[in-house]
Amino acid sequence: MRREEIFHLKKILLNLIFYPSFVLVTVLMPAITIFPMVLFRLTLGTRKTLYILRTLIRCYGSIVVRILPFPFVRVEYEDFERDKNRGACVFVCNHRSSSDAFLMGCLHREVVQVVNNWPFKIPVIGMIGRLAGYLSVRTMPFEEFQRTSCKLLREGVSVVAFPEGSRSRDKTLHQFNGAVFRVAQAAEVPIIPICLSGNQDIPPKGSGVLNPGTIKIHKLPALEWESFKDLTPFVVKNKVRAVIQEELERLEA
Amino acid sequence: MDEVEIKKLVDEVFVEAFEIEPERLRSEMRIFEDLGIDSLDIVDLVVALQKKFKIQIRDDERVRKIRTLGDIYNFILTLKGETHFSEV
Repeated sequence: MRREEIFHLKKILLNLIFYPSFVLVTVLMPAITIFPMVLFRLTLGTRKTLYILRTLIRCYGSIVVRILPFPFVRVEYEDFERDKNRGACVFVCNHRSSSDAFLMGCLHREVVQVVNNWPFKIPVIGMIGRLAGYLSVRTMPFEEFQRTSCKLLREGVSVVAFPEGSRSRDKTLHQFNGAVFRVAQAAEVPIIPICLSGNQDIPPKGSGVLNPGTIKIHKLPALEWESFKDLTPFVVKNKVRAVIQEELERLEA
Repeated sequence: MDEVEIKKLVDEVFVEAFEIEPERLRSEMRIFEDLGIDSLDIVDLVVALQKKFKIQIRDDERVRKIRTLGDIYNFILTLKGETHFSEV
């Protein structure tokens, strides 16, 4: 059998296995956890319930990207022990695929993601994102976005953002929006860049078809608040963009 | 104030406020896609331009139509009551 035929066969198997199990997990997880969550809310209060909900979302993300598509899609982590135990921070990530948000399940901490409008419209996922306090950057005025993000960071919740705004079709790194960098400056927290590579076809933008492959996630060294507190947000975002760009070139060389 | 002087001062704003390399400052450069200015940076840009040229542009509707650096040169030139700025 030729190499292309094997790839094609793997692709069919991957999609046949992934999508039914994805729907099953997406429906079952909330169905199983809804009553315990209501109970937690009544007994433990909002803050602890949100922590549990965000942890469950992280587990769900890990299942979706690491278990369901395995062995056709593999995820390789680099330097994930780095900065593991530090406090809340802003994670900044390049954006190529709709699987990117699920990949953030690999961050071993409580996080809230900054998302576009459309994920909130996805049945089940959108509703749970809303309940978990995910931030819709398109609908919130910047002042509200900054206030809410700073409050979350003070509570110890990290913020994950994809500052390119929309997914890149051609592997080029788009210009960054500076909102989340202004938040990091205001909240006095570090920025941790994350570089995603190999995910552009899992699935590609505009398609739901998954391709077999390997996704590489590299957690880069943190930029300490002291190093960017006096810079303009424009300079900070471009500094982080340059770090991610350089790492992308290394990973894809 | 002539067009050369306006271009020089606008370029100074980009270099001072955004640390953009002077060689990237060409009329045809799109401020969002090529220079990486975003909607929040626009506020900083407007403030810096107002300060540099001692003008009031914050509520000017024409700001919304600006796409390129050349548009900014022309806009400032118009505000300053000069003739249309030629492409540099």
